[in-house]
Amino acid sequence: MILGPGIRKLVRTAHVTCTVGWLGAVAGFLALAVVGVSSQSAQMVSAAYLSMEVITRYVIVPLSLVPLLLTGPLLSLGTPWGLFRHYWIVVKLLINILSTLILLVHVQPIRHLSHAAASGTLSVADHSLQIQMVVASGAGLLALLACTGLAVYKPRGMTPYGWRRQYEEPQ
Amino acid sequence: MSETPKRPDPASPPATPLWVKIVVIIFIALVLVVIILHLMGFGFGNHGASSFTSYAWLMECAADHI
Repeated sequence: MILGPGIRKLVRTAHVTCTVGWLGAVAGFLALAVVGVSSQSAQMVSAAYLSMEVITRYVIVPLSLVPLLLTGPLLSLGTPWGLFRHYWIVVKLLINILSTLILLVHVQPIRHLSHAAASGTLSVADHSLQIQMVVASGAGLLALLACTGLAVYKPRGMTPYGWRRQYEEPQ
Repeated sequence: MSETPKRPDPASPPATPLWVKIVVIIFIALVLVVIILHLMGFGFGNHGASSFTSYAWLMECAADHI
């Protein structure tokens, strides 16, 4: 199934919007995580963790799932690029799957920090978790930047599957 | 004079590009780091006494967006 030019542009616009939005939201999350672990003000720390849960729930999770489950597969399978024909697409897919999995693994700790901040029970025992938020969001930001670079530069290299398919398809 | 360019052999795909090999090495290194950190006690999840599991939290998020 090949998408028509109009639909392709619409899906591409949605894909770029979601992926760049995801990157921006993770950058905002990282800033809040740094404030949460470094600020001396209890109010500032509480505000940071409460905001992190809201950003995760309403921005990061939706923006991570839409490109992975909807616009990415549509763009790949609905165009001659394919999903497994070029290494850069396979690598980008793997990075997106891993980033989303790591995000989903962290939703419960984020919720815990938010509840602890709201109830004023944030303790020294949570410090390693606070640092983990900084490390995870920093790593996520780097991964998403790598994805953006791959999408723009599209480094050459065809998978063995893609190589075979280009000869199987009618010219 | 001019030779007809040879058509690449479909049976022998080109070698894996260098950048892919570098990405694979970085990926394996990162996985090892995560495993080592995990074994050292920097685990995931099970923090605090939250009654919500990640799955339940996700379902709640999904319900918000439907």
